Amino acid sequence: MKVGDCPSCRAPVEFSPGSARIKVCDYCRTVVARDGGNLEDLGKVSALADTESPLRVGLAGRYSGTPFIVRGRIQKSHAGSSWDEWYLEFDDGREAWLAESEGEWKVLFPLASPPKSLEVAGKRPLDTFMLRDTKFVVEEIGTAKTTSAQGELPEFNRVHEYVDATGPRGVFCTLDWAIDSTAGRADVFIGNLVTLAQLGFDPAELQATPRREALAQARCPDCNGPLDLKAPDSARRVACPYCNNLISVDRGQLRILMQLRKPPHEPTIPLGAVGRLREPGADEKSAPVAWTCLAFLVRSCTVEDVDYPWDEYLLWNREHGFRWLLCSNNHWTWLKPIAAGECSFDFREVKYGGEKFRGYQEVYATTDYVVGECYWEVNAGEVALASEYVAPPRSINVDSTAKEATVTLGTLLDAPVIEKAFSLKHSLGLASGIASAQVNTRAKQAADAWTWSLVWSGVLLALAMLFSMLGSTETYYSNTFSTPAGVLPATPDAQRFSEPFEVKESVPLAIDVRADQLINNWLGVSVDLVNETTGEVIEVYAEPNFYSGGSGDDAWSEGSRDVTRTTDVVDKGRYVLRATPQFEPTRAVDYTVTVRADDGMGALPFIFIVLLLVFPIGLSLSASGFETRKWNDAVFQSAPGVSTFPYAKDDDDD
Amino acid sequence: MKYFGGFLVLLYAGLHVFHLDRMPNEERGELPASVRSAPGGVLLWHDGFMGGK
Repeated sequence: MKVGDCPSCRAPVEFSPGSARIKVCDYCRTVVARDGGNLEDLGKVSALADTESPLRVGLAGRYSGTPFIVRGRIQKSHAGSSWDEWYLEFDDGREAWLAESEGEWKVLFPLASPPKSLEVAGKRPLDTFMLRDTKFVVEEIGTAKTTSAQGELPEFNRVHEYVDATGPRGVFCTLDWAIDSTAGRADVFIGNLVTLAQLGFDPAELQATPRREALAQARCPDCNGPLDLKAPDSARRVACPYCNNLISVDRGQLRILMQLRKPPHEPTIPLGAVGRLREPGADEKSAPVAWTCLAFLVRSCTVEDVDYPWDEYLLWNREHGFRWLLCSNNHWTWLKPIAAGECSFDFREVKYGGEKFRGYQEVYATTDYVVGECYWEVNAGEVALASEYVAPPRSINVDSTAKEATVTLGTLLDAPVIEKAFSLKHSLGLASGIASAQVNTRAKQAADAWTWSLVWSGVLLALAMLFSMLGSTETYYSNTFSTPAGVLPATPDAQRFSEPFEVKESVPLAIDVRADQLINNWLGVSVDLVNETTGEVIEVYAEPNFYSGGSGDDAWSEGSRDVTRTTDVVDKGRYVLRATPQFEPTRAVDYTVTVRADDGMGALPFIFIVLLLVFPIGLSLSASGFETRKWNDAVFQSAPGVSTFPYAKDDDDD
Repeated sequence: MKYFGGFLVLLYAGLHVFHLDRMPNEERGELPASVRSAPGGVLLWHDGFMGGK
């Protein structure tokens, strides 16, 4: 449908039926805006850069069953990298944008009436906002330039600001507003990540990307060393492994950015190495995935003037995307990027997937060394705030700058898993110290031990009570003896004999000596039981004593007027008891001797219960020590070099 | 702990059944034959086993 002539070159300008208000002149690249019957010249745009996108204007596709046509295209740039956004018009009248970036595709539909309450200015990474009853978390803010355009567009802004945010279940949101907008209102787009296959393009219509493929064989512009790019579609930075130049990769062009320092040590996992590894949390029956090691970074933080470096490896798989392997003190952590919108951030706490992660550290991390290819604009020396929240063996890791936040889900891996996956010829060595997300195995062992300890203690106690109920405690003899005045201790005159009495069972005996009249005095009684039949003598010695003094609050006492001694099993039969008292001369007192069966539970169950408690108590102390040592290292930095240790405490505090 | 606790329970049961779960304080011996055969028997036994103190 012809509307008029280009205000600049007079070439015919045609608009398709639809909502497009902007048309880029096919001849002179003038941006023409229609306003009723008038055409306005909005200035020219640069020629399209060859981004080797497989799409082109005019292509037809189908999304969620609805056909659409690619009506236009804009090219944007931000921080030295460029991407394409394609304007789609659906048959049902809807319009959408298809954003192509880092090998990912997002379909975004404009929100017809964004809420007026939505503030767009002043947003920072990890800020949240509500939209359509969905909580979104800001991942990136920035300013993008529109460098070129083609075809028909709903609007045209040369410079605009944007906020990218994610929500739960893969929802993506972009707030977009012109930099010169006085209204402060943003266009709001909501959509999802998609694959090209989901967009229903005819594969025969998609354009080949020969130069991207050729990038795989690219060479360093400086030393001509082969860069051997593994993921040329998404590579943004390459560090030449031969001359250590950091190279920018933009639209297939290589440009040297800076000279990097050589890492202090060779990467443990060689660049280009392919490891076959099943991702933590993946179905055990699923096949291992081939991950290619693309890059090696050394990062560090400085706490209390001490540098703490760690290694990071960037892994890539064409179907699964990027992952990280982090090695700190030989503790290996698998990091999988997740949408920030999947997490709920609170003060030193994150909730993800129904699990609560506790804040462990927040440090300013510097990227010290880079080797290999990266999908983001990495630079040596760049600093990000690295936050870690733990729920062993998993962790949520957040890297944030003033403009961007990336969130990963970490899982601790055993070093042998890495060795085996990458067929490493050398051992990765033993881990030192305690990893932040290390599982406290002692705690689990202690919990198990407590369970079994309590179970068996209960069984033991029940058994002892059963024995006690079944056993005899019958009193066979009891009598009170007096010592005549003037009698010397331990003499035949002081000795007393009982009438014969019957011990009815072969049982252990308890012989109790009680002297209620003892006051600041003692009494020793040697009790001899004589079996009248066998002549066996069983002797015990008991010495009640009782002392007291003071008055009121200063009153004290010690000792006992009642002492019990036990015997082993004695034969049943008739016995005579001989009591031989010993005492301080002239201070003899009356005493009662009682002989009874002692076939009860005895003290052994309690000794065994103590034994049962020793192990879990030991494990609990060990588990507590583990946690203390781990959390003592937890550090939070409010600024580089400003550290606090909120959980630290002395071991003595336990 | 599962097995250790079970072992302790069995050990206690065994010791109790065989009356080995005591910590007796006694000394044992025999009444001298001269005392047993003497008139009055044990009631005239005034020496031996008067110890301890």
